[in-house]
Amino acid sequence: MKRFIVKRMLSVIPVLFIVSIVVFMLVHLVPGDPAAAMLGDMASPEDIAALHARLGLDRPLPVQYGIWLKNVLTGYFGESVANHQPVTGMLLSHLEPTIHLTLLALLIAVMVAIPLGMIGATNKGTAADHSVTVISLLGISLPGFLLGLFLILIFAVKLKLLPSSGYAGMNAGFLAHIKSILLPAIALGFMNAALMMRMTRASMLEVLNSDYIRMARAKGVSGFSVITRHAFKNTLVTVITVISQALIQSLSGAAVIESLFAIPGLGQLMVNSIGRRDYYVIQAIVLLIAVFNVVINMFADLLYGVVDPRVRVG
Amino acid sequence: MAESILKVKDLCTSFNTERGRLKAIDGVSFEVHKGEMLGIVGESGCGKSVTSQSILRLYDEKSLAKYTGEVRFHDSSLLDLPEKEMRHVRGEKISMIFQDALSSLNPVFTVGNQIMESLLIHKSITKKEAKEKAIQLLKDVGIPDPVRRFYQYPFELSGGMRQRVMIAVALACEPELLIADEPTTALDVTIQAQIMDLIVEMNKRRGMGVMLITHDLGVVAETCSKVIVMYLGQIVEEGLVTDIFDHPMHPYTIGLMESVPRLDSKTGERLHQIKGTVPLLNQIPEGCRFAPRCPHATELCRKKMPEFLEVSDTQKARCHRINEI
Amino acid sequence: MTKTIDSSIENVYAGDRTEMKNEELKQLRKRLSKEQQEIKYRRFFGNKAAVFGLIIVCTVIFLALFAPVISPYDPLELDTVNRLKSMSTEHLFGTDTMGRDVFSRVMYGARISLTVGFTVGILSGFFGMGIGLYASANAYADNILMRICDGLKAIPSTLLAITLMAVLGADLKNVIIALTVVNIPNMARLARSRALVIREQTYIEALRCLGAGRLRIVWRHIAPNIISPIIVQVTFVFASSIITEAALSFLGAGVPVPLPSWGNILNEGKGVIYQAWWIVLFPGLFTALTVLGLNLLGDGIRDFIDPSSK
Repeated sequence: MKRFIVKRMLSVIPVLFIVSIVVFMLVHLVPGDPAAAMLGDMASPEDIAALHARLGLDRPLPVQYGIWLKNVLTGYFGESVANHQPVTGMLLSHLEPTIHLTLLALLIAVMVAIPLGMIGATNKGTAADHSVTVISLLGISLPGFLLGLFLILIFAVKLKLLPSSGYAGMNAGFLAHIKSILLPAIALGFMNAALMMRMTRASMLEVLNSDYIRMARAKGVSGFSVITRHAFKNTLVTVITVISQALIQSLSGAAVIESLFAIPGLGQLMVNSIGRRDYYVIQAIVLLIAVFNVVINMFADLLYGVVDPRVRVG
Repeated sequence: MAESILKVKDLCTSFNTERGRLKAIDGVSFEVHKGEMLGIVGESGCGKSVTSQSILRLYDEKSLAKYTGEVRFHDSSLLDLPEKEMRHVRGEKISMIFQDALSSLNPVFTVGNQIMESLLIHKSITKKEAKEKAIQLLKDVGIPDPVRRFYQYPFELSGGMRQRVMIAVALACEPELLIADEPTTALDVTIQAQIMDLIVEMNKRRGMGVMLITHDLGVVAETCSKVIVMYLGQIVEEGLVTDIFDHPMHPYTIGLMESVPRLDSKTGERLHQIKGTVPLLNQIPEGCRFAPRCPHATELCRKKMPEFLEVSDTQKARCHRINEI
Repeated sequence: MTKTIDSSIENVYAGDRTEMKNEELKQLRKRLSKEQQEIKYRRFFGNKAAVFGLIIVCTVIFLALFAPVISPYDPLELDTVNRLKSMSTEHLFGTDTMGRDVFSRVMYGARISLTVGFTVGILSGFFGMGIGLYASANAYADNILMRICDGLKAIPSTLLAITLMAVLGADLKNVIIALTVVNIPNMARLARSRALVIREQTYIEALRCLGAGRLRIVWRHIAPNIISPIIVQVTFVFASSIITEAALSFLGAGVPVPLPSWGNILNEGKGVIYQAWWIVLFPGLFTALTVLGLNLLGDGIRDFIDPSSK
């Protein structure tokens, strides 16, 4: 087990290296001079040259990468071109809404999807199963921002129950806080819920059709215990996978949902930065989420090892 | 003759499929006595496994399978038992072992855990006692170093060892009947012999009835006292081992016997084959089910299903022409 | 079901070659292949969901193709007098903030969505398959290409698409480039893993022993065998690209206004959602239905090609 953990943790390093190169190169994909692009059409050649020099764009790429990497590792992501603040501070101030929104979306998805997926699988072919299949298919075809718009139409425009935009922090009271992120969280969580339902159902079905479930039944294990003990532990690997993927999907989907609902999180910061051509902010957010993704996947793999003894050895 | 423990009468099992309801077995009747070893043979798809799994009602009855007929175990009718009581038959009174031990043992639980589970479900004993019993069982089925094996996972064991573990699971509650569904098919020849020896030993020592399902006629000849031959969901012939092997009556049984390679056959001689293939379940022939492949089939065979006729006190066959062939 | 038939064909070959007359064999094969055809046909057209998907997709394609004929107005024509008019016989889906006809814009929007989805599907399928096949045949390139794929896959796809658009600039061509780049890694991985499985099969080994060239094996023997999962994946990429394009345009980072795309109609409608809900509802419904249709179709094709995946 120890060897497995160490091995898996070390395997993250090359992936992170590649990710860092990809993210670093993003800014250099800008057609023409990034400095000129950042300052816009109105900038004077002197300003552009000054920024060009300040950003170190005239050095060879590997050197630029080295400097950038060193800065990133010490927590410095550069300075925003738009308002001359350090990017790190901007990220931190936009972190809370995104985290709350993502967690609530994930919670909704998990609470809905996993029980429904299991119900579908254990009642295969019945009306309950068909409804689960239909719900998950609809969910997969309904992107979050569309669902968000439809939810706004229903709950904000028609019923006037919930706000259509804006964010109330925890200091505005728990209820107001939840109210402000409930619709966005549903919009964000629904597609993930659909995917989770699908995968949970499929994996549960596969397990239920396996020989060891038949063996367990032949041993006299009760139907309830077959599902909760024998089948559940074997589907856990899939459940861990879908939860970790849903977490990443929610985090990245938040970009669209946050701008739809005007929630001042990382996603909105990123979308606003597109218009401002604030490439360093975009770069920092992408890097942050990509690294988070790699780390989450690593934890998911480590959890597989806890659940399934075969993974530990292999 | 010893007391009869299992009596199957007119058992039919049908499944819901894309092409409607298909009968996988149709009117199967037989008996197993205490301490007896009964062999069920036939090609793949003939309904051997369906028969065995129907006895324990292992198929999902909600949407998939439907059983009719009668399965009597001592005095209780298994097809009518509520699920809760049926659970106490499974694993405690009647146990089952399957072909592939690797896929039949739960990969995420230790070997010991899986043996203890049967004990803890059916016997009122403590965990500690169950553990001692499980280790004893591992020893009984011939697993060296049982204490270490107790804590291992199925994937850490060899194929033969896993099969032994499955037998240990099945024997944990000292069942009266063991249904062994192709217990040695997935194993090497040497291991096959060891596992069969183990089953025979348990049969002798514990007086446990055994239903051995296999397509290996050699194993049947060596171990069983009675044989049932199945074809396309029906029993086509039954009798004592000596009956079936010395003077098989049904053309299908004859074909089976002749298709076994023998040491005394001449070099270069072709093995016998039964012509054609097993029809699909939705294309069951109208008359005798074997007629399309039978070298002796007549018009009558193609029209009318033959009765299950007595040939002698111990032997029966389902053929119109038993007296002529 | 097909498996039983296949195996009985094999049995016929293996067991009865000597005993069965040629004629009989031919008959049997004919019967079996006919039955197989029938099963295939039934498997697709018996799958009501897939047929429903096919109908939706065909309808949207039809609307897109004949958008100039169907649309009563020029989608770009401004009519500031009739701003934010509700649905009426003149304006089936109402008008938008600048008095443009929403129905016409939605019809023309279908063109953009389908063009993006289709082009991205085909391009990413083509490049993904090329890269995957190349990687499967060349161990050195494999290492590098797959590491790059891993790196790209570490960035969630929506995020990568947004970032690429931010860097490249909002433009239809750039949307297609960005979405293709986003989808290639998965496609390449799929092609590679399938190709590796097929490479290991005995007949490829046999070909190698016969002296067939590496390129010939890859193109003539491996490529045709991996095409079906790629086609299924292309359908799903088609669907997801329509979603992502709409999302990008919705954020203002996709197809630039005034060109009508479902996403940017939604974006414009969002601001006036309290006054004119129809601007959001109709393009939204069209997007969701089209994606649903493609997903159903994709599922249908997958079950058709590989029934075991059901």
